Amino acid sequence: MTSEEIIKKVKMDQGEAIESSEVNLCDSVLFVSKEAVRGVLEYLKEDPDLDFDYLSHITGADYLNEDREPRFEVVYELHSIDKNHSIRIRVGLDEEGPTVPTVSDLWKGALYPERELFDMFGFNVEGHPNLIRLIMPEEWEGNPLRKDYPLTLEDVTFSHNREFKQDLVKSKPPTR
Amino acid sequence: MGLVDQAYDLVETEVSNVKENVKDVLDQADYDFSGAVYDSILTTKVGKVIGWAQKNALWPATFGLACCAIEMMAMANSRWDAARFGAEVFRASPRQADLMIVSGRVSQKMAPVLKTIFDQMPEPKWVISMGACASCGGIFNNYAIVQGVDRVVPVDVYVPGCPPGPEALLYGIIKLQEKIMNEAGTKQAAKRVA
Repeated sequence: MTSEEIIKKVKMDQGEAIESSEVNLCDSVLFVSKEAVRGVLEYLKEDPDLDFDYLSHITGADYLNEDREPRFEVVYELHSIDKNHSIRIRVGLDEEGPTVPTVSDLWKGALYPERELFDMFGFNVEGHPNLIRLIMPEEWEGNPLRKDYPLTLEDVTFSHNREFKQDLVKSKPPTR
Repeated sequence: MGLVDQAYDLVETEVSNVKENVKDVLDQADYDFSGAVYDSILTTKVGKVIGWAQKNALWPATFGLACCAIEMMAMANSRWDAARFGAEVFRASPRQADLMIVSGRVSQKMAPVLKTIFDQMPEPKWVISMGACASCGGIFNNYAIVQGVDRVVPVDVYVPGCPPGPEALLYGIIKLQEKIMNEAGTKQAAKRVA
């Protein structure tokens, strides 16, 4: 199925759950609310014509400095191995208590990407059996892929201008 | 002629007198200070010999962290041949190693592992920080990388470069050998052994 056909079919069957949809660079994209995402994903997996049996990836996005609402987004990439077509589902999340339901019972491969979501973005994944940090050390504070997380660990106090460098060294905050 | 012979005899007697005196004085000194001289020479010499033995058998721990490890392996093979300086036996167990070459960036999650391996190495032990990342974080000025391995373990020699070539690392090892030899017989070296 082409992307347009996929979107047409999904809209016909799950019309009220889809907030909006688009075809972006030949990829079909669905915008779904977090309440409806679980049902939509189940439908996409179980429907014999769509048959999305492979979860490529789950990732997050933080649009802090961009003029859009809501701030966070969770992106699911699905693929059908038999039919050889793909779809992307984007779920917007509010700034306070971002939460998505787990899909690890539909696709076992979702266990690790969901832990990564929890680790790097601080999203709560409801129903995940083992929601602990994946990449950062367990006692780590903060979520590094959020845009308000400091980018550098240490301020660089280097300049070819000696006087300016002295100012930099004097005003350098202690290392985090 | 008689005058010359007479003068010659006179000089010879004087010289032999001086020789006798010096011998007596030296014998007396030997007898007086024999114990002290014997002790001091013994302790310093043993320290020096131990230092010499340590510097010529630096066994590095097999601890490759990133791309610098490739250069470290190249240093060990026949082209650069670290065996010339006795540093070619890479031990897979830290308990058999006395040199840790931190070859590459140390992530925040790797830092406790590195500390554990360093603690497992028996004294005396030395650390070479190889490359820009291990020395100061290098280009990775972010939350994931430790900004210099000297925040975790004490470093003896820093080898700059990105990555440093095998010859640079060999130079670092030679510098470390010089350091060991300079330290040999001093209190710091005694502290390392004890």
